[in-house]
Amino acid sequence: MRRFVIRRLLLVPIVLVGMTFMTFVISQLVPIDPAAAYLGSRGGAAPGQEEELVQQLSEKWGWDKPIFERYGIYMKNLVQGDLGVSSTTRRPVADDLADYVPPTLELVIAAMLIAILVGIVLGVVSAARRGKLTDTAVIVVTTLGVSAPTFWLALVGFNLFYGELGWAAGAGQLSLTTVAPPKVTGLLVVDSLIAGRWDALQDALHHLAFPALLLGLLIGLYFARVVRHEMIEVLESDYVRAAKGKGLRSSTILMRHALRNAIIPLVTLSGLAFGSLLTGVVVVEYIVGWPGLGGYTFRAATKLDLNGITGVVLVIGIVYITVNLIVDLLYALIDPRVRVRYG
Amino acid sequence: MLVRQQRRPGRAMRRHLTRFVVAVAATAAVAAISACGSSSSSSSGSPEGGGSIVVAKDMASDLSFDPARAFEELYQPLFGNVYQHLVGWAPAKGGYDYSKVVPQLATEWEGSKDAKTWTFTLDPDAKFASGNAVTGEDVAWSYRRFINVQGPPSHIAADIADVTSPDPATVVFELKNPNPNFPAVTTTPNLVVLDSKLVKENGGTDADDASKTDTAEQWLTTNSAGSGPYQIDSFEPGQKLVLKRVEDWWGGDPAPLAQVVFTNIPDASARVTAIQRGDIDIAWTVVPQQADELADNPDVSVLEADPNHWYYMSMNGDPKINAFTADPKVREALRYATDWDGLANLCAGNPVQPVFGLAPVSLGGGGEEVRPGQDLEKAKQLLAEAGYPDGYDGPLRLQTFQWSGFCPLFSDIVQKLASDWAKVGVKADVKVRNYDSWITDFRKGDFDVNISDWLADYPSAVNAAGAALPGGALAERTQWKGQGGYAEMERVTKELAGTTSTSGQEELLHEAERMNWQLGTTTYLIQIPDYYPYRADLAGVAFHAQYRFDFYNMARK
Repeated sequence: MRRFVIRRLLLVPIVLVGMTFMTFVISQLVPIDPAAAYLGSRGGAAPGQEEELVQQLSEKWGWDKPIFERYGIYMKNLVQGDLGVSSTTRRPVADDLADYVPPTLELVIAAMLIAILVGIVLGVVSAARRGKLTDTAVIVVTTLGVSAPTFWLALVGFNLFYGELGWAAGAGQLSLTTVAPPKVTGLLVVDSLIAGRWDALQDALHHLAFPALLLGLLIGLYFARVVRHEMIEVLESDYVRAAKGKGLRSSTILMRHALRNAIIPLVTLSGLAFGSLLTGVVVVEYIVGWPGLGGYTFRAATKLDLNGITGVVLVIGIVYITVNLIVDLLYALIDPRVRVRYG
Repeated sequence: MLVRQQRRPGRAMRRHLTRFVVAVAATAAVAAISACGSSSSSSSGSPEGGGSIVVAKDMASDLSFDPARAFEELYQPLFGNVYQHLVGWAPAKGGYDYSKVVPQLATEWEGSKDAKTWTFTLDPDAKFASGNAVTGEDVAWSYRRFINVQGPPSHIAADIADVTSPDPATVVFELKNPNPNFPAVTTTPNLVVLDSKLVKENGGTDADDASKTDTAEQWLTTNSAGSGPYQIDSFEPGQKLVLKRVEDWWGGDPAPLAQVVFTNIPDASARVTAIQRGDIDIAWTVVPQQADELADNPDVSVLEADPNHWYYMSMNGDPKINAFTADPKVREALRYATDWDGLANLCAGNPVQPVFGLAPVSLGGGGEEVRPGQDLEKAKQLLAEAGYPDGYDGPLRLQTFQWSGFCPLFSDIVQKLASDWAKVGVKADVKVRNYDSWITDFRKGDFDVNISDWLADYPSAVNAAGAALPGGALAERTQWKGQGGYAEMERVTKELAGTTSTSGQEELLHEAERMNWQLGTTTYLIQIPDYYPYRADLAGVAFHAQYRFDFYNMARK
């Protein structure tokens, strides 16, 4: 197992180099001039001044250099821990990431916890009551949930739960009147706990509840379909029949024998969903004014801000690799066959 | 052995699941308790007497507050409150009178006979929030830094040849061309006066190589160095900007509102919800349909503001890019084919003001007399004269970009033009593009017909018209250099630039507008009003055409 983990960790730098390289190459295919995006329609418009201005900007941001030379400079700086300065925000990318990653990470972690809980509960209940009213209801709800557009649900849901009912908190991570706890991890819930600030914790959870529940339910409903399918397959297998024949309680059969086997695909799915959620939350972040990575990535990508985009790619790469490593370790925990193979 | 191996993960799995369940249940429970128990956040807390207001907007583009570099969005609402200009606009009922400048940092000003030298005398009492006195050298330094940093807005001062301060109370501008409206130029949001001592301490310089050596941008984005009634308290990019009043403001009593908070709510419908609930005080901005939704709410008023912001249409003047649009007769024909009244009524139930010539009427632009209007027969006749008696089916990219903040939408305008032109046999290929790929081609001048929006640097008909006239920013994009109609338009543009009297300017402007209908490449279409819902308990809400509210005039009723 240790060898397996070491082997995985050794792959990390190779994967990250590959990802940054791909980012630089792909940026060449985008029909956007970063100088034009920087200046907008009105900037630097005086006659005779424009060429000079574009030249000066190009020198400053390296837009005039061939892409491979820029990549070389980027990697050299990266090795020294310098992620460069974003041409969009004009701040160091490391500072930007320190501001924008934690809110998204907090939202995604909360959503994943809810999704896993919803997926398991609904999937197990539905499979255990296959063909009955509960099962049909779960199938209808999960189908509706999976097919409903996230943007629409977020918009309607926010208007209903915040605007009409007043249950959800307003935009952002905290109310304007709540003073944020001192920044330690950047995750407001955790930082509030560390500081013992119960008012901030309550306010942060209140703000987190709507977007996390929305995303969590949407993914959870998808998970439920997978768990249901796996559970039904497992429940029809010989060893479950044997367990039933031994007279074991159905709850024991469901939770101890069936669920453990049915849950393996869910672990894989959770890893994948976590990674894609990191940038996929942009729509929900937009509607609830969540100051996360989604909006930052969108701005950097549309303005061809290579330092910004590559910084985001690095973060996503690291999170993705870490989550998949955890998933692989969980496999071994859940399925002894995996542990034996990689022992 | 095998049994033990199987049992251990089983226990771990159960523990794992149990932890999940407990953690999620706890999260949900606390969220539910807080959801039921806590009321919505109050926006009218009272920090040290005076209270505060909350302004919600999409803060994605609010990246820099350095006057020499900012050319995005929030700098405008911010600068007018934090910084001051040499002169300002006269207050008038419900807003401002953009034909009359009044003292701000300067008490007097005088232009030379040739309108090329302008001397301003400063108010001896003026001081910055830091306590430093506002001197002529601060003014000269701020302008020199603005010019030498060569940031995106630096074209605004392109006509200033030199700025000096012969004594602490005086500042003298030498211009490259005569400009009887120069005091109005100094009201441009970016042309503010900075506390030079403070900015120098934080990396600012006005040296010739300031474009490379000035490092004050980051400091100026989280701090301010102005003499206005407010100063920047804190800024969290993309989230929140807090302004606090200057307690010993030199210009008068401290502002009634102690604090102004800008908060990020990117989605307009979420801003509507927030203002209905009373969580925010001003929603920066909504579309007319959303404003209509608020009409029955007695707690919310909606300000329909005219920010002197309009749609325009540019046709490429370079025959190598498009020989069809490069022909002035074709351009005139397409203007005759356009249903101008229909354009002004595209936003259902919310007619907008037309722009007849090259500036809104409210700024002194021409009225109906400078725009002949739709005449399909005349359009067909002009097309025939240009060699297209059967219409035109060749390449004609009619392009714009996607943006949902206005009504009518950019895409509505291009669809309308395409259907109007089809009536005279001209077939346009409508392209509604992503903004950043659109701007790349726009700046290169790679388009046949382009629809977008424009606004004047400061409220002035001449500045508004200048963009469309030869040498102007929009005309340059059309690659219109020396071809069809250029020489005639260049003559009137030069005459306009050389005029030293404001009445002479107005006459020439109207002549230029009439000629532009026949020859020009860029035509202004309709104004784009903005809608600002605000809580009805807020007094003194008046929009300034340079995209700001003067928070100093606001108070709770």
